[in-house]
Amino acid sequence: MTTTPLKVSRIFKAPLTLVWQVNTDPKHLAQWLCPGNPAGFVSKLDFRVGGTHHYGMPGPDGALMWGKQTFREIVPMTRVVHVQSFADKDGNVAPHPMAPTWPREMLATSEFEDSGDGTTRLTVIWLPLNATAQEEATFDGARPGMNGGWDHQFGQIEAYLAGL
Amino acid sequence: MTDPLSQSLGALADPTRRAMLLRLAEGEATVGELGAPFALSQPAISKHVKVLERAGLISRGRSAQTRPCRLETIRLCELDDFMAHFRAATERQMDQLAAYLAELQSKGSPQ
Repeated sequence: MTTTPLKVSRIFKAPLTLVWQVNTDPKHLAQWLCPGNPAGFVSKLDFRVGGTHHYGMPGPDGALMWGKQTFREIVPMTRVVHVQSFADKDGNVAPHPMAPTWPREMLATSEFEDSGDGTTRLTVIWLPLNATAQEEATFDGARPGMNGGWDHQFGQIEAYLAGL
Repeated sequence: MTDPLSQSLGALADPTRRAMLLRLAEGEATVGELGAPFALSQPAISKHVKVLERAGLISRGRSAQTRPCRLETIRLCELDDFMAHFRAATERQMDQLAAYLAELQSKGSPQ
């Protein structure tokens, strides 16, 4: 059974520094995210807290599938927390192409850990972040006294980022 | 009326409540234990627990006076289809990452 939050963990036969490097450098990302067509990987990465990674991966038909990551926390060699979403070519958050009613944003936490003998454990935890009007109403109804709650805060972060 | 998935997601749209669910994934806990890691008032903690309970994500025991909280896995199952997508995608990416790391290191070593 899958539970929420979703956690996927694996030990890689590579040192922590290398695992960190290939996860944070677009040249390396292209190689393993698009092993069949690394040259087709389009990436604009601003790797800092508040920065974004807007990228396109060629799908089976050659058309680019766009994604966007917004970094919330970066602790070198330790942790990256980012908001993951589908996007359009201009970097706007977009619905999942196959499932438009799904949450548009997921919170991903990636933990990097030296697990000895030159191996590294990478753990990725996924949580849905939801921002539909219905969810917002549920949330506000549940917590009167908070101004719009989490979705409101997230909107403020986005507005702040847009102004940078 | 809000559908169960939306209610679950609404309850999950808060970092404190997500942390509480993570704690409960390790086993039952009292409201006091759940609130201990947070600098929040007792009423605020209780409110978070009520939101999780209303969404059906947790239930409260009846026997002990402390009424320990536990994860309600049935409601969590309803999120399966949604989360399965991310599990499959993440597993696939980790396969690709492992292959790439192996390739990099075989190039870099004298073997």
